[in-house]
Amino acid sequence: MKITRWILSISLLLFSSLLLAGQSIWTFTPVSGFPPTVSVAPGGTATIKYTMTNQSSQTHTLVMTPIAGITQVTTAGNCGNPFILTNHQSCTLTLTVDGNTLPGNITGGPQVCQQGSQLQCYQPNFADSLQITKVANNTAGITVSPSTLALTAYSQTPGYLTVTNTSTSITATNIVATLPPSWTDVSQNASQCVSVAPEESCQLIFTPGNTAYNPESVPIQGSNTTQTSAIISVNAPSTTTLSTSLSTLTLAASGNARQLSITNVGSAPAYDVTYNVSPDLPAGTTISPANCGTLDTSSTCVLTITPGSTASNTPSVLSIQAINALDVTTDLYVLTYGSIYQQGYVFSIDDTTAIDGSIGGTTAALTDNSSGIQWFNGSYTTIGASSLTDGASNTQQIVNTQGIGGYAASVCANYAVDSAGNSPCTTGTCYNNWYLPAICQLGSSSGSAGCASGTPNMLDNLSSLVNSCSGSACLSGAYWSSTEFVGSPNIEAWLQIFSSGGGSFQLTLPKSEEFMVRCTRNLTT
Amino acid sequence: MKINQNWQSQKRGYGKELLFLVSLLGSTSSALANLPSSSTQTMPATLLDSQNTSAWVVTLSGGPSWISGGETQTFYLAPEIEKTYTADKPTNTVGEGDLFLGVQKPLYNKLLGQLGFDFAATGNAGLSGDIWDDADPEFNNHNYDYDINHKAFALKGKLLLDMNLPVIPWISASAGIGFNQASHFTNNSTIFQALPNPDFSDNTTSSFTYTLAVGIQRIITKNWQAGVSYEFADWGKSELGNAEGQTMGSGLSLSHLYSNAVLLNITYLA
Repeated sequence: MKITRWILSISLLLFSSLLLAGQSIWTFTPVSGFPPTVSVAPGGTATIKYTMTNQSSQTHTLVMTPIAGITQVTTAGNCGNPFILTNHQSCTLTLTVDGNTLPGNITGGPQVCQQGSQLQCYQPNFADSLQITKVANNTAGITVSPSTLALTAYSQTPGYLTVTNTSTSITATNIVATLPPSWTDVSQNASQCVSVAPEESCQLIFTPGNTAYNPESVPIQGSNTTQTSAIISVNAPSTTTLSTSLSTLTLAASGNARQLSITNVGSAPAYDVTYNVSPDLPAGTTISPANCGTLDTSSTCVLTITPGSTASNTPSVLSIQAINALDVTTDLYVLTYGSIYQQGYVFSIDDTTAIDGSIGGTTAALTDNSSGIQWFNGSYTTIGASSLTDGASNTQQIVNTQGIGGYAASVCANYAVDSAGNSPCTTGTCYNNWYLPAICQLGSSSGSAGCASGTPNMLDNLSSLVNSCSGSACLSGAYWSSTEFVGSPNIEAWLQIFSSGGGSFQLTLPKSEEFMVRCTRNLTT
Repeated sequence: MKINQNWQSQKRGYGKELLFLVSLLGSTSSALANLPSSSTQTMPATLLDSQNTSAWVVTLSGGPSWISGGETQTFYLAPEIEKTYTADKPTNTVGEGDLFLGVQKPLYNKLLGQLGFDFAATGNAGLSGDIWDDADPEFNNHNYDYDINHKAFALKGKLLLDMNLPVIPWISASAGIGFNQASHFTNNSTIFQALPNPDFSDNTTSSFTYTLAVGIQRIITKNWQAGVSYEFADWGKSELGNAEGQTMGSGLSLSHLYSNAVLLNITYLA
């Protein structure tokens, strides 16, 4: 019961807050060409017109409260005195301002009341109220619109103030705004306002610099005009959001240039979009253009990164910055054979991938994955893993056929290492999808397996791990490949023997023998 | 001048209520028959001692009173000028003071009766709300507030039960004439375009009023007692005077305004 009363109370509160909006029963809409803001000199006249509309469903008999110096025109086509407006009916309230009888300036009104009392009276909204300036004979009145102007720092986007000469007879000259002295980087173009004919307008144009300023009332006046003012501010730009097309971009040393896109995905322009790289890019690698300037909403700036011949030792972090956005970063790597990347030694590079992405390639694990394990899972079977170059498909076939067990291909299929070097993965990025390399990924065309010349392989491209090498990373001894020997595919598979000083060779042996395993993996983005 | 005219007309209207009060007083003449002839007579030490004795009683009460009220009203102030006055109905806290002068008389067994006249007065209770021009919520363009205060002169009866306990419970009722002054009406525009309306004028209305109360009191000394009570009161009718230019209807009016008060009281028995 109490809850119901609370809900009812809250509903009533919401309803009543909607009601608070309010609106006039009868409204005043200025008629174009007859604005309520005028200046009148002695001897001059001005005409002001409002469209009066009864917004109520009830009929109202209305009377304008007399104003000294202003006469209501009640001829045909105009509102009478009094005037009757039925449901949503309108008429034109026409007022003539007489400069001779006008006692002074008039601000506010006109007031229109229900006939007979002051019990129901309305006036125009503030912006549409009478603003009548009585000026000397040789002075032109001026008005400015809008009354406030907000510029945006860095945007270089100009702001406009329209100044109207409200005099009916005097040409206004040299109208200019006097900006605060400290606003040194805000420029004004007042060339349109050197001479403004009676009842004509001109524009003052303001261009912001890179400094924000609080709102200030800025006086505007000509040589022979009244003074008016506008509130001008230079606001700091709204924040926006930048996005990069890649979080990591890998390139091949001396390889193809690649592209990185910076997109403004926020709702405001991004100003002064620049970048820096830390640590420095390897020698010879360049980025263009030098900066992206202003990036409009949904616009993209494409950076082209051209690799030099020197590879990266560590990633170079490209940090993209803007005045009004948080930094975004992309890690850049320039790789060559032997580079350590994604927890492996790069021995194959594919630089034919699309230029808006990273290179492809293959790595060998940083250390041996087994010091001695048999090829088969306990029984001789022809699997059909006969590819000389595609270790991934060979491994898939072997594992599918032989199932769970401890053997060379399953060691690689089950291997996973994270970006911190933990195996199995515990943190960071996990690298899996390792496989037992095909014989031509291990050794070169110099061996007996019949590898095609030019096939990227560990013997040729990781020679520093084969020759004069010490430590656990070295390739030394007999390593199983995933390629079955076509001469007796059920019994034998290919081996690569790594030997320092050019003694490496290939041979086949029964799958039951135990040899070392070094897994390989294709690079991922 | 206008206020005086209203008062005159309302005074005539409540003549019957005054006659009723006088007749009530007459019907209690038997209770008054046993009044002590002078205040110098020897007084009883306690209420129990006083069961066979009459005594003069003066009780002064005071405390906070809570008023919530107001009614949404729609009426024409002049031809083509119809307005709705909504009521916010907030709860006001005002001060209330009360003076009772009467006699006490044993009635039956442990039951004591008091009868006398009561004078009450309160502070200003504020009422407020919105004004809808054309009686249409779309034109909710003003708000208003005004004050009401209340003075009353009533005949009051009180029944006390003396069980020889630390405190004496009692109930009371009163009926009489109230004077409700509605004043300080102001209205404000809530949008720039709407101009403020002339305000309703101050006006005092006399009206039938009654109270119902329940309380306890404790004997302090032979002559003094103190206690606390809850009192419900109907202030009766109140009405503001016409606004300048108003040719139809009257000011905002309320047929009843109810208050709930918690009063501390001190009683002197003589």
